[in-house]
Amino acid sequence: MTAAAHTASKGVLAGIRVCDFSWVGAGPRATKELADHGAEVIKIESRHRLDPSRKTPPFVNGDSPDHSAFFVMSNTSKKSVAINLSDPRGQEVAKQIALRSHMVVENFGTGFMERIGLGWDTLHALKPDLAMVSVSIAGRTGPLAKFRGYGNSAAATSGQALMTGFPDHEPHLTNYAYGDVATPLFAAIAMMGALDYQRRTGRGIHVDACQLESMMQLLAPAFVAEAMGLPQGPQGNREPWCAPNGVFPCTGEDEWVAVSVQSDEDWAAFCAVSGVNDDDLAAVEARLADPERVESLVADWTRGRSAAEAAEALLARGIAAGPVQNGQQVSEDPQLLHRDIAPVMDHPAMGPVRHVAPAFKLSRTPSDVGLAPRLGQDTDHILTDLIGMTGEEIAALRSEEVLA
Amino acid sequence: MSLLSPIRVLDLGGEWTGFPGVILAEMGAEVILVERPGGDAARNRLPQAGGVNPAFAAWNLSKKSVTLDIETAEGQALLRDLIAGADVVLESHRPGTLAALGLAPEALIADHPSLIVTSLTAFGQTGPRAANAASDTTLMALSGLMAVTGFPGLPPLRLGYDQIASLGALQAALGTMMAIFARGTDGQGQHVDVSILDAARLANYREPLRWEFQQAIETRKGNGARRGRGGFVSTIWRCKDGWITWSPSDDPKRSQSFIETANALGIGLDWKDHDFAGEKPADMPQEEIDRLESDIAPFFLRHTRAELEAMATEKGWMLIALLDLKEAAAQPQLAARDFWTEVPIGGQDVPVPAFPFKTSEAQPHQTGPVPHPGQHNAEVLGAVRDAAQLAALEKAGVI
Repeated sequence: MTAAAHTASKGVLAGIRVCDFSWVGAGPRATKELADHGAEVIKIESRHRLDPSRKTPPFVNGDSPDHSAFFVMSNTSKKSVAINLSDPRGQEVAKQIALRSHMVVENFGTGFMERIGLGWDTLHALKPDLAMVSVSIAGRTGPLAKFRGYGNSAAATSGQALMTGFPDHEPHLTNYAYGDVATPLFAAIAMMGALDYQRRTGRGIHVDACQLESMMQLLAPAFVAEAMGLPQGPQGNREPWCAPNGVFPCTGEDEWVAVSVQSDEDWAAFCAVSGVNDDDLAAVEARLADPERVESLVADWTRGRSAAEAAEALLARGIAAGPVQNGQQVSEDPQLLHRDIAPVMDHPAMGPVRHVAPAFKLSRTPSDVGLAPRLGQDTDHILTDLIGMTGEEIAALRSEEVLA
Repeated sequence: MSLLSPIRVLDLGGEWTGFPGVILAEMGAEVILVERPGGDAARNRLPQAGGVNPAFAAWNLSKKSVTLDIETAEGQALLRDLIAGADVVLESHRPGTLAALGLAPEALIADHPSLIVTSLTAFGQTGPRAANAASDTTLMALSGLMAVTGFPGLPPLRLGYDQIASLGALQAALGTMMAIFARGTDGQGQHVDVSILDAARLANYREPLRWEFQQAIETRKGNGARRGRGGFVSTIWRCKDGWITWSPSDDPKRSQSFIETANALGIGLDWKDHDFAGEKPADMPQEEIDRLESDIAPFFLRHTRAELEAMATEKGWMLIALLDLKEAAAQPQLAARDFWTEVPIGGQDVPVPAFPFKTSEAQPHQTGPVPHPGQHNAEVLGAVRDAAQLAALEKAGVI
């Protein structure tokens, strides 16, 4: 009973150790999910090859790598061990941590882990029940195995960029890297699959997860429609199955309300609230056939209202609606505050700063979100307690910049 | 052997469930879609091809299907018997809907302590917005992502094909797998409460931070990105046969090599002697960036994507072609990785994406066709009702 209660207080993955070599976005956002649920995720990093997230603003209370609030977003609840992986002695220390872990995660270029002696074949031979997840842009095999890219590369090559935008207008590559926020969830699912497999079979496994294929999976409806003879293209804010669907202008400067009329009942409700009286638009087929007309009817009604007013009136009638919120409104959104999605935590370097929590709540084994680590803060503890190095050995390696 | 434990998942449908069920099915679970008699309403959405809605097909691959009327007492009794034999119930009804039918997640778990119930909803089970109607578009609007997606002077823009709902779907699959892992430890189930708005808020990794620490509100910048201390650089360029992504950003050698190549064609000569190491394009003021970009734009227009990619590979420019769906699907990389599986949909053999992992030893995925409504009634319902009972239920329109 006591043991179960203890486990519950630390999350479902308490007792699982992950040796995490991943950096930037695609890997760290995945291992964050595991760390927030109790896994001991040991981030192997180095000031000699700094995770670019640590160099990304905003900086709080200083400007060293320990002060990036941006870094916090993808690295909550982790530990950090500083190891220079370009030094063979550093590679050996990292290997000792990997061999005492349930899972290794990396998102370096294909071949890098092999070059530093930490490739799958090596680790698997030394620890047959080790799980390993590799995350890359296009996969570890095939003609593009060595393809190097960034967050939006897969948006370009998956078809997503050309499918985003208004018809007869230039395509859109978003300012944020959608691939870097969507595909880590696939990687995290792969990690849970690998842990399940490992525990069930006692065997190790290497999972090769990639952004290109993940992005294409997200476009599955588009690929299926196209293959079935329905040509696809960018549709602005419209939906193929319901109308009107989009954003509509309100009273303020750049103020918009999003509205989705998802059924004929919704349309009847809109007509009741707005006084629109067009019987020939009662059926979805008619509304889909003349989207400009139905959209202008909605815009005529929203234009004299604030986004909040318009949304409230529509929601009261059961119609999906919501203001297009900006960063401030999102920060103050009552639902997100209710869910406590971004709890303020007192970080030793930054002071009070928001740490983002998981998007799902487990009723019996809740998450346990902890601080994002300062660079190398757990080096001594991990090297001493986990791999049994002495204080002298650690000091010697540190003085030679191996543990930095 | 499959990656995931061989578990049984009942997918009760609702507004958002399709995709998480596909993920669990492809990883090895037996996923049974529970539809109303005649089939889920989403099957009938437009457009239709061969009597099938492609989006419904894509999000219900690899599942089984049974039909039952959840509004009737017999249907509820049948569902309870199915739940008794299930490991996971996936549902995406508005909070309170199942409770009104006597099927509240907490009550189901109390009856079956090893059961996992995953509820995927727009806002989660509680909170001021929990009862509200929502759509992929309204959730993207509320998340703050829509305000920064799109072009100056045009309305905020959504990402096509329900990407926000998909972020929630992925979180639902992940949360379910964590609950499965926890159950492997102590045999106990639980309720997984997933919020699509929370998922979208996590994806919005910049704007709340920008507000909190810089008290600034970002607007739509089109295909412009800030990559240094200066203004916005273009991220996509029109070329002879389409578009490519590339930025005149922060690598002096790359910029120099690019300008030399353009200069050889008489393009961008004003920048011949520019010191790119001393002043990176990403650090220049907006007017200078605009001048540079309009000077070099003709270079792209003169070449095809293939020509540009060949030059980029040789010279290290980090330039990538934007592909349309047909081009994306035809990439040799995907064939080499056996990405596509052909399944029958609406009378055609349709290539569908496989779940995106390769593994060293487990069966990476098991992609199967889309079931007809009630296709597995005899197999699945037959385990809890005898043939005479099933015939009576069918006659009464319950299944």
